[in-house]
Amino acid sequence: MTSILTADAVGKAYGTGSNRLPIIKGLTLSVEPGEFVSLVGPSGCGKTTLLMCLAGLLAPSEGEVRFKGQRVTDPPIGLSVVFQDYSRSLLPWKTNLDNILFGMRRVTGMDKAAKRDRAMEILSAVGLTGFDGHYPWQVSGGMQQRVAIARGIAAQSELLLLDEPLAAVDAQTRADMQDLLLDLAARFNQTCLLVTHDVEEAVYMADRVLVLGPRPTHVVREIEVDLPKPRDQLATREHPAFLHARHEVLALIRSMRQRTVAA
Amino acid sequence: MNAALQFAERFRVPLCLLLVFGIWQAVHLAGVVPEKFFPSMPEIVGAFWRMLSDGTVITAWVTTFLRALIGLIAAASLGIALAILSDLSPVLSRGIRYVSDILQPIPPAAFVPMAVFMLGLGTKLYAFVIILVTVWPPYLNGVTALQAVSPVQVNTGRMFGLSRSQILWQVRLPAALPEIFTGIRYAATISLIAVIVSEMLAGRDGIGFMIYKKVYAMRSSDVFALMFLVACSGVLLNGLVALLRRALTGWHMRMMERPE
Amino acid sequence: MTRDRRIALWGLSVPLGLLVLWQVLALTQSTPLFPGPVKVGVAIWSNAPVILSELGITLLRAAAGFALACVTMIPLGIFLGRVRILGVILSPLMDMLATLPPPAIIPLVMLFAGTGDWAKIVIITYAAAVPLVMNSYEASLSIHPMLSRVARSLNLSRIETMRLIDWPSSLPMIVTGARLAIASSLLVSVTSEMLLSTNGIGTYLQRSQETFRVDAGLAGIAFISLAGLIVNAGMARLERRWLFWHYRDKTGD
Ligand SMILES: Nc1ncnc2c1ncn2[C@@H]1O[C@H](COP(=O)(O)OP(=O)(O)OP(=O)(O)O)[C@@H](O)[C@H]1O
Ligand SMILES: [Mg+2]
Repeated sequence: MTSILTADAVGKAYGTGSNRLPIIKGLTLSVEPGEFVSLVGPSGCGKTTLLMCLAGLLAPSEGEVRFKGQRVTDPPIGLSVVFQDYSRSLLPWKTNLDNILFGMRRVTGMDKAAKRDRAMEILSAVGLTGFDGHYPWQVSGGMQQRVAIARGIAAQSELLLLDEPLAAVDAQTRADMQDLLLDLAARFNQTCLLVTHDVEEAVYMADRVLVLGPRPTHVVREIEVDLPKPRDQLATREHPAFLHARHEVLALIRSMRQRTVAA
Repeated sequence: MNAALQFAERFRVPLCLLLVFGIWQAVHLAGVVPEKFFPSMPEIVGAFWRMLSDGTVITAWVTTFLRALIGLIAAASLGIALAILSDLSPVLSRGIRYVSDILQPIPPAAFVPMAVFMLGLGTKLYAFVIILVTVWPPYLNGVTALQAVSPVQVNTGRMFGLSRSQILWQVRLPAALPEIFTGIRYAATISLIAVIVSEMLAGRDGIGFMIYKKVYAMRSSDVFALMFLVACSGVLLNGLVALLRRALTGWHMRMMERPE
Repeated sequence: MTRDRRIALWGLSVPLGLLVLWQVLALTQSTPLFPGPVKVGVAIWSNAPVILSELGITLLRAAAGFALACVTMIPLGIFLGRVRILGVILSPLMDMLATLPPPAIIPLVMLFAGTGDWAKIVIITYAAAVPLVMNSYEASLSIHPMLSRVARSLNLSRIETMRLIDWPSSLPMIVTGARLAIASSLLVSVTSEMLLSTNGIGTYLQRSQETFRVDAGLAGIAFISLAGLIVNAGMARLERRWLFWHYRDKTGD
């Protein structure tokens, strides 16, 4: 099986000369088809920057990114991003439905009516039946987030990059959305790369957790999560493998923090 | 107190008219200003009616209003085109900005005497003067707004495979349109100023010329009536802009109305 | 840094290109009534003293009218915002006056006040008054309720509240009004001189027309543009100096 996404010795710096600020350095990772991978790392370490590089929205300063074996220079077909700033990524002059249809521009082999049906189906899957004619700014923040996720999924991409998509919702909604995301990923057969700073979420969702170090960042540890599927909010979180993985990640992050403080 | 405020809020237009009318008539009756210069309200209404019924004012008004409207449309289109052009290259953007910095402070009246020689007294003169002073607000707002479009929106467009020009037309221009319309609204006022001034200085027709003529004939009630007409033209022109704005950027207006 | 400089330099090619185009057009016309930039340049050089003294008169009147409008209209606007009921009743009148082009009232004032300095200053004051009153009215309406609560919790008197809270927090909007008012004063000052000729740059332009000196007239326009540029630049500087907190605040929302 060949990897769907690889990053090879990727580096990225903002600014030039004395203002040069290295964000990512020598970062290597790969994602296999059908996998759910979580990325955790301290705030401001460069997770969003990394995701932009992986999506072809930002050119890395060093190294290369490959999607399905092709070198990424522009956003490739078959890859979509749910942005951290989801409310601003929705176009305010389009209705929720039109925003999702906008995400389906590149989907081939479907006529207009079929795309519409599909969009409505996904809208109801994220629990937004009846809100298709609303504008994003007419619905709550959590609903906007679901529209953004729905749009990412509707694009029928093989790989979905999610940048802290659940950061701004309350705990109960968050748990529901986690299960929804897992369900949708399985149903539409999507590979996912999820950025989060919630360690429990990272472990709960993923087959594999990648831990990023402080700036300039790279992958410091890779942790396999061997938990039965489908995941369950109660059973999974009490499973010994879950507790073990969670412990490992937290310990690693704590040791990194101590090292930064000492330095 | 609150009830009074609500009452005032609801009936503010008639209340305002009543107040203005009352003060006006009081000044008139007190006779502090010679009656020759300060006609009573009924006299002004009478003068308006007289000019309306002999038809002179209608042709003059149509002429003036059409000039302002056509000038505004041309200037707004040109302004948006310049903003898009500025978007294509930083050098071009800087160059156009130099030209706008130089031309923008010049009042329309200043152009008229010299432009008369270079362009004659006809349509060319009006087109030149109106466009030269009206084009800047839509252009300036357009440039700022296109620059200010959120990078997340642009990235969204890129991710779904939009080309550079598609992003301009489908993402950045719609996002910038509300701001551009603020500029067009301001431009509407300027366009009317430019027309009236040109007609006063070099005209042979139109409301501006008519006002000028009436002043020399000392017909103060006619002058007041014409002023009222000019103010109404301003309101009408703004109304047309607002109509187009609602059609094109209704989403934005409703978004802004939404209570926090 | 160097890239910005390069862009600024290359950008000059646009106005220069337009000048060349104009020169070519002038050469093909070959009449003194369509002078090219070279002739205008010569006229700028030889007429500068006259133009500058006339322009001085124009700017002085504009400044007087603007100042008069500032001292009367900003307090009036804030007052209307505070005494809500008056403001509400008068707002249709303000909206109406805002759409009435200021130059249109020049002939009217001429009826009352003749063509002297005061007549012009009155017109300029009116022109500057509309944006000033509207913006300071809006500004005093939109003061954040939080700030009023702060004032009350500090036990500030009515006057202190106005001076320490209302005034600075409405300043950005009033400055926006002032910027519009300055443009308006300049516009009306020149226009009034053209219609009520006595002296000033507007009269100078009219005289240039009557004596067929198009080059001299265009030289006059060049100086108006220069004056506008200087005033705008000065205004931008003052804003950066006094209102930096407003612009810095904006990003934080
Ligand atoms: N356009 C830019 N120019 C310069 N520096 C930038 C830019 N964008 C981000 N940075 C810097 O890069 C660093 C990493 O930013 P990034 O947004 O990738 O972090 P993050 O890990 O996603 O943070 P968070 O967890 O808060 O989302 C930050 O220190 C930020 O200040
Ligand atoms: Mg981030």
